[in-house]
Amino acid sequence: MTLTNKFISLCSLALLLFSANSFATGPRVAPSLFVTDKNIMYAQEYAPFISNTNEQQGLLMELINSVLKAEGIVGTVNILPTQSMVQYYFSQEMPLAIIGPDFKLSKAANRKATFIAVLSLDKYYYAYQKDEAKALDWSGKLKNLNGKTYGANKGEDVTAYKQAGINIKYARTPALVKQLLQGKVDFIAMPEATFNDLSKQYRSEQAVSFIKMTVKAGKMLMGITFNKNHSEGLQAAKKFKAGLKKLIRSGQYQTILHKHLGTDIAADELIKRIQ
Amino acid sequence: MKKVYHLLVGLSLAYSSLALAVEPVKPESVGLSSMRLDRLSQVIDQHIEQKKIAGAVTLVARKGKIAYLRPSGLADIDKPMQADTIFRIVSMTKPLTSTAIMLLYEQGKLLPSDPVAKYIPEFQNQKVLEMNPKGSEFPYKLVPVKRDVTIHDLLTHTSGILYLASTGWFPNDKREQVVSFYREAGITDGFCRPDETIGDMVKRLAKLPLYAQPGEEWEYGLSADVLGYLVEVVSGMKFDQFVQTQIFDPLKMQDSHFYIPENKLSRISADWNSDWKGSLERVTGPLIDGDLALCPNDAYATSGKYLSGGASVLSTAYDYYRFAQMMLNKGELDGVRLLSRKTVELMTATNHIGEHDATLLHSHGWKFGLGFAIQEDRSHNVDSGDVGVFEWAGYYSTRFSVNPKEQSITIFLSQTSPFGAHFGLWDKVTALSTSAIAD
Repeated sequence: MTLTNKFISLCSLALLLFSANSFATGPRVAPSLFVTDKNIMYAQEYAPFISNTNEQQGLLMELINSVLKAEGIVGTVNILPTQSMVQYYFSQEMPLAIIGPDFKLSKAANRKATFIAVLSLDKYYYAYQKDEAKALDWSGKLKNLNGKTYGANKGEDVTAYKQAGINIKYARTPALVKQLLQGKVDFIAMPEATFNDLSKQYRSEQAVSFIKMTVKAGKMLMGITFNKNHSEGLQAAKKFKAGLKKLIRSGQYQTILHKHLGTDIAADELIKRIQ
Repeated sequence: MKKVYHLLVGLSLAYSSLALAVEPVKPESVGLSSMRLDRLSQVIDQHIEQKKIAGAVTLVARKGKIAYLRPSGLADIDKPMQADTIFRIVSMTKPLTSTAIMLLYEQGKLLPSDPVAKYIPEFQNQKVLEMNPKGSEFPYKLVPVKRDVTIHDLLTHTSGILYLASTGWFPNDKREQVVSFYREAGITDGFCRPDETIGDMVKRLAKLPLYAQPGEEWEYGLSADVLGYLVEVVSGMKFDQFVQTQIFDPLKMQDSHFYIPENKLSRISADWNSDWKGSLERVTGPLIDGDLALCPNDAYATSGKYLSGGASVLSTAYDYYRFAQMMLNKGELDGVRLLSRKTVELMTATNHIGEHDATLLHSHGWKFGLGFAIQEDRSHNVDSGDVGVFEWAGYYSTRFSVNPKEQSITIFLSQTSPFGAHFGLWDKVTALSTSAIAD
């Protein structure tokens, strides 16, 4: 066989192997086949701390991503819109970790969970208020809000509210803010940054009619829960803990905190709480 | 009061299409029987007299000419229906959205076979919900999709994406579980206008489990809303802007809008709640029927963020006729070519959904094309039309039907809730307009 014939044969073979059919727009191979989900982490969307809408994905995600990167913990974070899905993945599948506010995990799921607090925030009550003279105030005693309607998240422990004679209406956090501004619930509780972020979009459309109660409603811990049953879970948790300490010591934690919450925030006090 | 009601109904019946500069041709000139079209008028008037519906605008066209355009009854309290009354066409928005997608297809910007994830990354790695056997420790599991959801799946409602309202139509545990995720994630059916963009909603929806593997079941749902956002991503324009400049303007659909201009507010028909037994009430607030939150009064909003590809458009009988006539003409109207003949043939091919049937509005014998149901065979309970007839409807009692074989179009627009009671009337309207064919 001459060199030319060899070349022609090779070209023909190549044409056969890579014919037009190979490139046609028929059924495609799912991209999911090329993505490893071995080290997947699930986060629950919680504005503005865990968010799909900006590049840094919110304050909590920026803190967590900084530690993950510095410690070489490789994984993909999938931000989900519901707590139920995050709970499902942790209890039924094998994610490396879940991220978000305090998850109400089942007993079985709790046994394999190791939680590391990354952020502690003050929660405030916000109340619907048309008439400033009749400002709603709880003054540290829930019974002062007897007969009012509290907007709660599904799964939230509302025993104390019920005992104080408070009615409960459930909705997801953004809907609660909207309902408060419309006077459909009397009061809600959340971190100030969350309320400010979510109420922004409605303020231009209607008269602002709410007050922030002065006495704090409590604290909210947010963080990352590693899966002890995952082959890399315990080691990753250990690395993460050490990494978080380094982030705080280097001052980077405080810088990120100030970037998102402003320089007035008492960073040292918040850090003490998670330590 | 009764006398006033009858006077207004009488006035409106006498009122022809004066408000609209459209002069219907003599039915006989396009092979339709005037006498037989009178039967159509009688049936609609009967429904109005019996207070089953408050009013309607009905249009029948053949061979490219409008032969029957009849407003009847009331558009609102003390306000007779006019030929140019504006209606919430709700799901009749979907064929417009499909057309927007096919315009992008003709511009080489997408293919129906493309995975949606190619344009909206949130659609990558989707999961499908499967129920575990009864008595299992956990009620359900989430399994990976066998293949990605494609644009074709969205156009044909085989994506596995549901409407929340479907729990009322076809209740089962699996549907209830999927919808509970929708509720928790703040997904709405688009019949109200939430304070968010369609992109915000679609990105959340993409992260939630599908009801079925893509392509494996026909499930009417929010797919057209996803398509609306896809138009925004691919075209770089807001969805309403795209539809306005690429569909409404070229087709001279001057009274079709996502948000009503202030000067047309008085032309919107009220929505009425009917028990179908003679009790008819004007709807003043939102209607909640299980998961189906309906906000007919959102139609009076003159601006807003939410642009639903499945439900947002307000339109008139004449405007929708122009869209339907373009489809019937295989893509062209009054010298303006919107779509190519081959694209319309692709959209109206009788079977895009294989063995499945589109059995929400119709029974077996109906398939789904790229945006509407299509009659595929006559071996089932089919009341009228021909193989190849394509049609769809809207929740507040609107319906259109296009018969390519007979070159005819029927449009019936009313504004009455609830949805289910109207099937019989709609079917009679299409049957009577079909039986008026007299050549």
